[in-house]
Amino acid sequence: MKILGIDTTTDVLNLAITINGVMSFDFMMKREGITHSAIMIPTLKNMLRLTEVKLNELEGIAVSIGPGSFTGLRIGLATAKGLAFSLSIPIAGVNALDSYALQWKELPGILCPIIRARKGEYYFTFYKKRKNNDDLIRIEDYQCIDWFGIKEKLFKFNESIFILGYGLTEIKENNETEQTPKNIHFIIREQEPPGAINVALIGEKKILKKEIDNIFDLSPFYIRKSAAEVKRDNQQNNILNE
Amino acid sequence: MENKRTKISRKHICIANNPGETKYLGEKLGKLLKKGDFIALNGDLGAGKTTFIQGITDGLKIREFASSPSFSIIKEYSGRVPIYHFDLYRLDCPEEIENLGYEEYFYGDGITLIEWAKKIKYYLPKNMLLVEIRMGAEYLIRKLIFQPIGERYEKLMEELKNIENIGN
Amino acid sequence: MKTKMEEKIILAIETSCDETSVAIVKNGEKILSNIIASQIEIHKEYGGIVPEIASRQHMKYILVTCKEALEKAGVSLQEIDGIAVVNGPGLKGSLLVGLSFAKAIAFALNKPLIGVNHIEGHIYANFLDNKKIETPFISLIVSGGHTSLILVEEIGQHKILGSTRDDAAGEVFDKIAKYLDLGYPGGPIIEKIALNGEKNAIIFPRPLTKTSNLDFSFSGLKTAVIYFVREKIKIKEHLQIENICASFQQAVIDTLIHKTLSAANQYNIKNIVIGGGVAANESLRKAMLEAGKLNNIMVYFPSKVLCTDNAAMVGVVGYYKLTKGFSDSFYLDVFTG
Repeated sequence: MKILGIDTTTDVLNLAITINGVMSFDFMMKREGITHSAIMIPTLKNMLRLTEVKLNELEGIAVSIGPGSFTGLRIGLATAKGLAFSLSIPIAGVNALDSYALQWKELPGILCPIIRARKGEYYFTFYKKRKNNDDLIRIEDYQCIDWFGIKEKLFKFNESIFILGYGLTEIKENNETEQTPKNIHFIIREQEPPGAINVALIGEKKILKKEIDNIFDLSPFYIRKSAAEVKRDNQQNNILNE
Repeated sequence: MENKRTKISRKHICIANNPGETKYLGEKLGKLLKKGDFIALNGDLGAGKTTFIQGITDGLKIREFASSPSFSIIKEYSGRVPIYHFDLYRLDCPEEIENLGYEEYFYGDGITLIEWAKKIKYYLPKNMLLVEIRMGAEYLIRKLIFQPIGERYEKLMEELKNIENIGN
Repeated sequence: MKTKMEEKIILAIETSCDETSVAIVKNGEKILSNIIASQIEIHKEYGGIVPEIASRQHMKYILVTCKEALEKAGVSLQEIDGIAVVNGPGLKGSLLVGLSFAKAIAFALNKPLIGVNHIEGHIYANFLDNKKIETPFISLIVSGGHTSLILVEEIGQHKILGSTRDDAAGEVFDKIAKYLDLGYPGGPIIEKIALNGEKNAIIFPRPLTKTSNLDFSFSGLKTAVIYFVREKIKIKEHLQIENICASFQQAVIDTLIHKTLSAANQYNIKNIVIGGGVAANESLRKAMLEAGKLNNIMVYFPSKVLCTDNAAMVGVVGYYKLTKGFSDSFYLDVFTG
């Protein structure tokens, strides 16, 4: 299948085309002074011209639903909906943690991709490879907590764990010390954001398995805290007397 | 990254005799603000929250009117840093703020000014400058109560006090 | 007479703030469909979990609203000649959904994209009901989010003459209604109560009417009403709500009329076009018409339904821009204010 993958979850606009599970084209542009909103369609237009894939040859749109940038997600997802609707092709929403893990699936151990959620918290989960094939399976829920909470969970594992974080230099700096257990490794990259290729690959698999998303309902991934959790986390704001 | 338990510091009070003085105080504060600063405003309808913010945007040299964003909820201005002017008057419940991508504004690269901040009490950051504007019996007179929370804002208040006559 | 060449069907999208709206408009005057998300029933045929209607859930509603609009109009995507979309002013996250969606459709269908200013939309809502409005005209757009005076010298050529420095007129109606505990939405409620009140019982300030400057300011009026009520409560005097509403409303109306006529005078204009949510206020409409008659000025209003935010008015602007050979590049971005 010819799949267009879209990832606008970070400051890098990433569009990719895969053909039958193989990368055909991968385009990345880091946003400097111009928004994803302005460059999305011109970039897509130019990319298609270069790949010589016609728009109406596409058989599916795979789009990252985050977690990630609030505005980036809206741009990517609304664009994907418009394209899928106009071309009458299926859409597949892909969680950014899933596509990020896939990017590093060659690593020999448990993968823990992390995406910054602001306010000192991070989205994360854990993946491991299936015994007999190359597939990754997620072994916990998607979660969002602070780094201390994540560290506690990391200590539960004996196998090698690889922490994947795009641009999360603060994690590397504060944690890659002599005290860090030997099985925990930090793969913190400033130049390698989660990629649209993997969004396209995961999306293609979903579409082939007919696990197509409800295009009407598809929305950015977001973990809402319960009112109690929000309150507990910010108790000091009791000074704001009603 | 350590989470220091922030001590609640004392309040600083100032009287504004008319809207012009409220705005003037805002302007003085605006001149001192830096990227990442968070100003949370509370006060009844008509107290002068928007007027104070108009002063702040004047101090930040923003040309356009800082008109009330009650309907659009968030208004953005470009100055030497981006300025995010929130007005939560129309928020029916605190959770609605999650639909607006608040984290990227609050913890982003600009200055955040929020009217009716108490509506999202538990979503506010740990450190900020709280400003309460109280109306009195006199039509034009307002009492402005500044409460800095966190080192940055205590320092900010000291700087403001050095320019203006603000008592405790 | 319109030639075949000028026949155009526009798909119009509006997601600038609270509502998700999609409309199909023919030739800038015929509404084939005008769908507002909060007003449609989300049918099971759209599958899965479609939540109860909430404001600003544009990502969830944009596609179903678009589909409804096309189906109701009996028009297919291929028959669309252009896609018009509001790219500002408004709430950034909301605007981005509509704009991104519109761009994708325009690109996929290889049709022109036309960015529309939300306020411009309100001006041209008038063209849907009053087909012949000669330029130049002055437009007063007054709603919860905006109060602006615009000079329209030619279709598509606008100059903002003045706008509010603080509160919008519709916003003040809303806030006074809330302060008086009258319910929501404030404007229609105050209008109704005012019918039984005396509009000159209390003389509230008419801000900025002593200057030829065309900007507005309503926060002083708001504060005056608040203090008036506070005083009455303090001395335990009975509040005559009908009189307060009528007098407050009159202060707003007088201010709006004064400024609009001042603008018409300064620019020697004989046509006034009103739009926006507050333009649905019957007392304002009457007063404007009377003032117009006295000054030999034609006054136009859209139907009440078209005063609130909707995509049909955006379709009108799209049509006029398109027939003038204008369209936007795909680099079009949102602007917030």
